[in-house]
Amino acid sequence: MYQVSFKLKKEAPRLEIDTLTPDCLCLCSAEELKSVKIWRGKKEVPASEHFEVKGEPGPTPEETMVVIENCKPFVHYAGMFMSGGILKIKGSCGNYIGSRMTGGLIEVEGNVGDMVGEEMKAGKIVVKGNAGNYLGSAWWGDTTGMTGGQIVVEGNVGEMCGQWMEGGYIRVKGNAGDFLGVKQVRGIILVEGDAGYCCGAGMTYGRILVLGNVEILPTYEPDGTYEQLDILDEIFKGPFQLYKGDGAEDGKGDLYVRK
Amino acid sequence: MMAESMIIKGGIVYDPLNGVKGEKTDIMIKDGVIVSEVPSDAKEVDASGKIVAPGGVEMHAHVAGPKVNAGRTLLPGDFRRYYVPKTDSLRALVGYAVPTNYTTGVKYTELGFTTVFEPAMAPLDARHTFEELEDMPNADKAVFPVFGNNWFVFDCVKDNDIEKLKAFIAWMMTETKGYGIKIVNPCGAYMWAHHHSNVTSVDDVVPEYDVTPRQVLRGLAQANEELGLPHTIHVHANMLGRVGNVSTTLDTLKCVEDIKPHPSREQVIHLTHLQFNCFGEDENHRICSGAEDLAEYINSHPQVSADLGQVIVDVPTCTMTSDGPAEFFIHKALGPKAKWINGDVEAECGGGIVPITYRSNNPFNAIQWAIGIETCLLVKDPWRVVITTDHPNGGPAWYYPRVISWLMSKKARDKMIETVHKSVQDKTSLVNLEREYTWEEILICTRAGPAKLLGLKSKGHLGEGAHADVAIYPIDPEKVDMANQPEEIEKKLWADMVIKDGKFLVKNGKTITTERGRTYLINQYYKDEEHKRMLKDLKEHFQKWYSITFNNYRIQDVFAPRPQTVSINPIS
Repeated sequence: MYQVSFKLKKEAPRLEIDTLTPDCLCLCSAEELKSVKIWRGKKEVPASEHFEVKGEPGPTPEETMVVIENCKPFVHYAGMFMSGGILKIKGSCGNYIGSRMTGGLIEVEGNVGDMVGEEMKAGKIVVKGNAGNYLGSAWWGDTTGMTGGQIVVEGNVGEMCGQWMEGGYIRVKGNAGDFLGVKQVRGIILVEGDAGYCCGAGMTYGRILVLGNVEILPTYEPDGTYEQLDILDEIFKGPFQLYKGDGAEDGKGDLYVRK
Repeated sequence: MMAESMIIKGGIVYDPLNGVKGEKTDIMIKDGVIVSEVPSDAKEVDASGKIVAPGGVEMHAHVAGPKVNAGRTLLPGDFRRYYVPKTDSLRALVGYAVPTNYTTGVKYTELGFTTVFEPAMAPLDARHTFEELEDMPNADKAVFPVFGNNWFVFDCVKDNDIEKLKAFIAWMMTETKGYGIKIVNPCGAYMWAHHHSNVTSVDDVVPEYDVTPRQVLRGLAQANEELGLPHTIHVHANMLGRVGNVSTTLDTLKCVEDIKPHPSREQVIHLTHLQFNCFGEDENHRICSGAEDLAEYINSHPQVSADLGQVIVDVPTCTMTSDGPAEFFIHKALGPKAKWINGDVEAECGGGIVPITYRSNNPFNAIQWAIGIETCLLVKDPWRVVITTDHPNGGPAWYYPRVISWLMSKKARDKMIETVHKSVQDKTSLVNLEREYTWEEILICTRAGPAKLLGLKSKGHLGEGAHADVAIYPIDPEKVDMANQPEEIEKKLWADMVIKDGKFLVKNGKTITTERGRTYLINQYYKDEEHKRMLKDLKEHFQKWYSITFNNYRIQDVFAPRPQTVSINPIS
């Protein structure tokens, strides 16, 4: 696997690095690598102004790994539209990580901001720290969220996680904020900790599992219990109580809560 | 600044209004108009191997007004489907289905269109509409105020007082700077606002006024023809979007059969976005195509003209119309994901907005797609059918090249039929149609035809005295075999060069500068005594029903800074 690394050396109020993906960098020569453009605020500048560039990209996105070192929360749009390869982010990162990506893997060691995996279609995002609001959701005002792929967050997530979600799998190992899986249409959301209020409001189909505590909306109806659940070949021991809803939207979604 | 004189050399010129069918001639331009002679130092423009055509005329595109603005509000995600950062000469372009006004103007120019008509303006919202139109560069424009549910029209029609109606129409055109009469779901929007229902045929009665859609249509058509407005009535018929509505549409057209057209034209009615009003009903009460019935009627009745309202499948777009009940119906049909805005304009009309994506795998939408093309192919006279997508109701106007490729190439149609739902094959006759449009017919449908139907004397042709609006497309009709290379048509129907009023706006397919277009409007009251008699009643009507006063209704001249006044010719 070929590797290109970008080490942040100069700070700025806002950087947008949607060009630093395996798709944009593969086949670049050493000269071209230095002149790859990123956005600083509303100005387009070469990446080498803010990053130390090392390494050599591969001939295809799949064979290329891009590493962003010393990353800070003012860096946004990492891995946007990514279709293959690996993007490793060492440190924390800003908003829109893996937004609308169609393949590949993004690994973040620290915390991430809002809209992670927004409207993503395929691929995988792993976040070792906490994530912000609108994880795997739709763009504001749109009605189609994440349609495929996987997002794994080892820490906590903010509000509106999986809003308008239409497929794929979100796994949160910590707690989730309010409005988890609002307006969810398909897909699976698994929260190992607690979830905030209005969990699954307006959900029509899809599945939400909460292993910790959650307050069930009055529009959900109890519908049987399960001893254990099998989610993507992983067994979760119960017992689980199933709730069907959201009744307010005439929905047929499943909300499983560990008793 | 006066535009320089130029001579366009070597192009393959199509000018259907003057009978030029793909001949190699030169077009000469001086002072923004087409002339027959230019000074020897005129700039030469090489157009060899390219089609030279008059600038396109869009007769039905919702490009400005409060409803378009509300559509933008409903579709925040639309703004990132297409965006171009600003350059030295252009502002940023943003938006796809419901773009900003600036983007609309620039994209229309790049398509080769230089005239764009906004077909539905609530008269009370005229100020906003003109503010937005002012922001739309390049295109010459005009608006059609909505009349079909106006209470004062109902009053006039009920008393059968055509003279008063004529005076009212002329007054309304003058006050709101309108151009033609738009009728949207006559009586239906009133029924929706006040009775939460809709009219189901042309003979349903409005309770408070005791009038029927038939009376409203006949009254307005008769008044329009006697008044001699440049365009016929522009009708969005009842029952839009309902299965089996082709019978209602035919009734609508039959209503005005016996009305005598104004001496300046043959038509009395323009049926707009016919595709939405052309659904048949099969034995199981499911949708099928009604194109054959409608096309047969249009073919045998020269007083009817129509535009397509072609649906583009699998493209996110937004429906917006003054037909409130139809939008509610669409909203209910689409399910819980559909957003919906309903609006009501006091004593005049209503409206609604629903974002939509027509799906190719949905039988209903697939048949809708087929109906537009089918009707266009079945109507024999290209002068009376206009290519539109009812932008953005059927799809964004940026898909005109694709619509044209379907019309010009059976191969492209067959390819499309394979990908859409198979119901198209049994419920429409599209598979059996062999006709392929020629370049001349296409240019009639997009330029000469609409210009003639709209009564624009200096648009849609390249004869002497016409405005120097020229679109040059990088296609050599002798080299490109249209029927077998539909992809070529689609790619190259974006203009290579566009000249508007003798000035270059687009060069090498890129917009280089923007200009302000003119506004066509009517500024003339009807006969003095009739006008005074009408005003007496109208002022009373305003006192009774309007929240604004009579004197505040007129919009100031400053809203249309470059007016082009069109006179009306009443029959005495």
